[in-house]
Amino acid sequence: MNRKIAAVAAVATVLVASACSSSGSSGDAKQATLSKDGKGKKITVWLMDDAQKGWPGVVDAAKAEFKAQTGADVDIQWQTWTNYTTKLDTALLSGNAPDAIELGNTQTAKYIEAGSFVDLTGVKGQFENSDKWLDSLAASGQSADGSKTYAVPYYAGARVLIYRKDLFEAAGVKDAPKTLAELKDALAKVKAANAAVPGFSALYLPGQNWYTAASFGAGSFGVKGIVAKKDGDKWTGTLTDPKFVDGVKTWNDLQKEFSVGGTTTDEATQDALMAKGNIAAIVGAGWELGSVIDPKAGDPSLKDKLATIALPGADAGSTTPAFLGGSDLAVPAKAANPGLGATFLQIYTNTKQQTELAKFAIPNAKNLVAAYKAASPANKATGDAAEGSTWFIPNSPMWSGADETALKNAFGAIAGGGDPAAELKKVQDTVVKDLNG
Amino acid sequence: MTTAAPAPKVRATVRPTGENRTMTWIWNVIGLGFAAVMAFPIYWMIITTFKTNKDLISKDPTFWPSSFSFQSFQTIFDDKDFLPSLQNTLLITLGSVVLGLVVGFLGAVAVARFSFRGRSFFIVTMLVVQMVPLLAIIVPLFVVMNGAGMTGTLFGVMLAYLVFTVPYVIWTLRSFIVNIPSELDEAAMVDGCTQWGAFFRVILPLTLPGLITTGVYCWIQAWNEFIVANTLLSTGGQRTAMGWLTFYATTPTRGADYGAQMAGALMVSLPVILMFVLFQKKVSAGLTAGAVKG
Amino acid sequence: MSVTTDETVLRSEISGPVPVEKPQRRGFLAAGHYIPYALLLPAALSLVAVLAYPLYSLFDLSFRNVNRYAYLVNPSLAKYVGFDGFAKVFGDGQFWEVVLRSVYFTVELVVLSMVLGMLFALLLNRVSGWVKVTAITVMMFVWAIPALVTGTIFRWLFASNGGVVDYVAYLVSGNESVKHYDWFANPTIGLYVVAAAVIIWGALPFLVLGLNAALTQVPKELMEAARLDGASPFQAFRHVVIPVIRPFLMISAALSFIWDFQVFAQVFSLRNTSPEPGYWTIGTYLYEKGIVASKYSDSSVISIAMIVLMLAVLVFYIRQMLKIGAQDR
Repeated sequence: MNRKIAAVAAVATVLVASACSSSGSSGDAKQATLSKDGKGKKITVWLMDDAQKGWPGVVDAAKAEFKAQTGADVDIQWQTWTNYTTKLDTALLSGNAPDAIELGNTQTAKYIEAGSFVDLTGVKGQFENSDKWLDSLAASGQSADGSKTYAVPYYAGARVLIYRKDLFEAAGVKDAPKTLAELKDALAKVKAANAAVPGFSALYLPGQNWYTAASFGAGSFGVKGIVAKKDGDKWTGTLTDPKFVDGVKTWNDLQKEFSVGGTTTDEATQDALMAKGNIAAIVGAGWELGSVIDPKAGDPSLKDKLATIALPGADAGSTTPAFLGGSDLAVPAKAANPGLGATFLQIYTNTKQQTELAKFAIPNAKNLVAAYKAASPANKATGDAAEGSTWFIPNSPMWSGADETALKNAFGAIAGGGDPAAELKKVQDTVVKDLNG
Repeated sequence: MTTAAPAPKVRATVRPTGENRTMTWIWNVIGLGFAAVMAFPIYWMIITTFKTNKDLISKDPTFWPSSFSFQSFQTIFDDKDFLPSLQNTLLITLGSVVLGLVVGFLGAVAVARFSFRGRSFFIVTMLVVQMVPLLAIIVPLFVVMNGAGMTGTLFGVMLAYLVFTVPYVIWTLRSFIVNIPSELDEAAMVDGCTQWGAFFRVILPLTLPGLITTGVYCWIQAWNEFIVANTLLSTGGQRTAMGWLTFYATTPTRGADYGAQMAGALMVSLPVILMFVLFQKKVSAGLTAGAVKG
Repeated sequence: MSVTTDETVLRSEISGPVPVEKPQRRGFLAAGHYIPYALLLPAALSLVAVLAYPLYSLFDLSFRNVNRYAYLVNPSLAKYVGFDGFAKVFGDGQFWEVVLRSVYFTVELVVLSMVLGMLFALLLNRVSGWVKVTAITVMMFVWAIPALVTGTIFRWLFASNGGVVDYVAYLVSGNESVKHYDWFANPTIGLYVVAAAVIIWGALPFLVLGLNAALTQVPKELMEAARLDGASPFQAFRHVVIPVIRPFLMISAALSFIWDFQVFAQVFSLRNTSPEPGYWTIGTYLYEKGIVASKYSDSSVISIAMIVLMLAVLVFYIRQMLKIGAQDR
């Protein structure tokens, strides 16, 4: 009881203080230095559990190298994506922020604008491969005008076509389709050959998978300025551009023709559904292949029957641009040891660690993608997709999960029978209003 | 509708006869039917944790696993973060429930037994507090706790949980306390109890059903709370069981392990359920004997 | 407890308060005026400590334009805009649409869950002991399973691809087409049927167990007396049971109203974290328009609007509830 009372009193005293002192000051962001002076110190780093489950060895190697160079220990605190935005919002506000953090590349802009990260521009040159970072990923870590760097690319992800070789071959499709037209022909054959299978999808395209739907739009519109582009200070929408709408119609035609039972869902269940056997192709991230044949949740007997290719584009040799998702790393401005945090990021993203990481995910630099592609045959397609043309959401601090929800729902409505142009107009109004604040 | 069910109840409690035994069986069947409907989603969750991929990939849902797999549970028990996070949840929950019940009970006695200036204001405030969306105040809540140096500590989370336990306990317990005739306290005092003796020997036992109901509610709210704990604990590197469960959700580099997540949720919930069922059996005799009789 | 006689109980319950010598100070501890305040002190202290600043900040933010993270970090960039924030939210047609939907949805949820809860609570007093234990165990399961997981389970149950509900409908009807019925395509069905089922399912354990506990406070002697007086079962329920459980009934109805009105988590997880506008009630609106977009001022305005709306609905009710336990009733 005494402890409780003491604590309550402590909170009460602090009330007044916190009410007055919460106004921080940050006109110019702190400039980073790379500190090697860490003897007896311990830095805190937030990494996503992707690394914990996927590439713990890379993290351990980086920790060891960091210890050797600076003498400091690293306390890795594993994070999950659930509710991560609230966690960042609050932790970056507080005096005891971690010394380095990972965050999604769609989350960076708002923290960069708020001055929550240390400015890495001055030391960027000392980060290996920093001149060859993947374009979309590098852009997500920069200020709006691209002049300053606040976040370091970590790894990327891209969606590809995962299909059932056996079903395609049984339907008479011997070679992987090279253009969208060929893909359409192939799917028509697969569909005809499996007409007797109830609920069969030659290509499963869930309506709310907006990244895939918008990729088709990007295929005809171009990869720059998807969703909206900036003219001076104002964002203007590009979703209603006739070329973009055309691309979306291509997606919608495929969806209507070849996809069964997914209009009101997103891609979360597509691997499990594909494992059930009545889906011949999906558009998914590279790891989803493993998910389909997972001995626990999927069907391991499909192992040799699956193949992946980058989603073909209109012409042979081109691809339908993939959305380049991924993660960035940054040093919070309120970190206790920003210099050591930056040094850890420098080590964690150097060529050695990234080459090792390339066995599990698309590394952050173009020159390392080859290592990724060589690591496994299944990686070739995602590597191709990442090297090919890719697109990204508007780099604006006002972009948020609400916009993604709005877009998911708009494409879901189109898949459900809504008029593409009208639905896109509606969501464009919403999103542009958000972006312009 | 409300009139139909209670009707025969009155008689049954009074006089169990042969005719009523048949009625009891009819009620039993209805009661079991209701329990079955309520239980189905839980049943589905449990068999999912045992299903092998053969059942998972069958085109139609299967209502009974063709063979049992314990792989999901294996994953959970091999996870070295499982027990520490469960321990954090247990400590936070215990602390916040005990604190909430003590603080709330005293407040409930005040509003149920006394008229005093500010009583209405206090009651309405307690109601308004429950209307405040937690999500909307999470940032200032963090600022306060951080200022007090209590972010990253289990005790900070316990204190934060008082926000929803105390008002609830006061509101709900009040309705139980007013039903205890105040003559009872006086009778006890006449019998030679001191004021506090009367309080502990009369009021407290009679409020037991209410205390259990509100205690269980608070327990479950605290046990299953995620956002406040996740946010406030962020700076300390600790997590609760709910936070631990999110480690099995989908990420950009792998799919969700639903089997493990379900098994984990089951393992996390089981202590609560067992505790309550055991507890319930122990106190139910006292409860059903007719609380007012003491 | 030897102190109570049946007579005392009957007298106090049936013929109202017994005349006692100090009618203003009934009950134990009725010695000093400071006592209620002393009892309230811990509650008031802890709530003020934890909540004072967040509540102050809620009001403060609602009059400012802190609608981006940068403004939260550097409050000097934001400014006070008076009621502009309120004008903006109230000027949004979608807001009123959502309010109306919330009202319909809340009425459905409160009425159905209270009626079902009452019926099952009464039923539990009628069944054999083992059935009661079974039912209570089931309800504890329902209650204890985290919301994080229940959303997933119900999404599976109602899935249009391999969902159990559709499959059972197919087994019953033999109609192949219902096997892929999409419960979520029409938000009216998705919200008022599926989401309502999830929420009521989750709310019943609290109501059934709570009402059942409240029913234990109904003195058996009273029921017996009522029966001997020739009261019909309905009359006995109406005039004996209801008055005793009325406080809990009112309070649980009020709390159900508050929880159901701001319901969010269940709908959110049922729609896999991106509920379509047709599913939005005020809780979802708050999340999508305010919280997730880091629009702190908008969130505050919407929260305050929510609280005011709830108070407006409850205003009559609050007067009734204030009287519970007031000595001068």
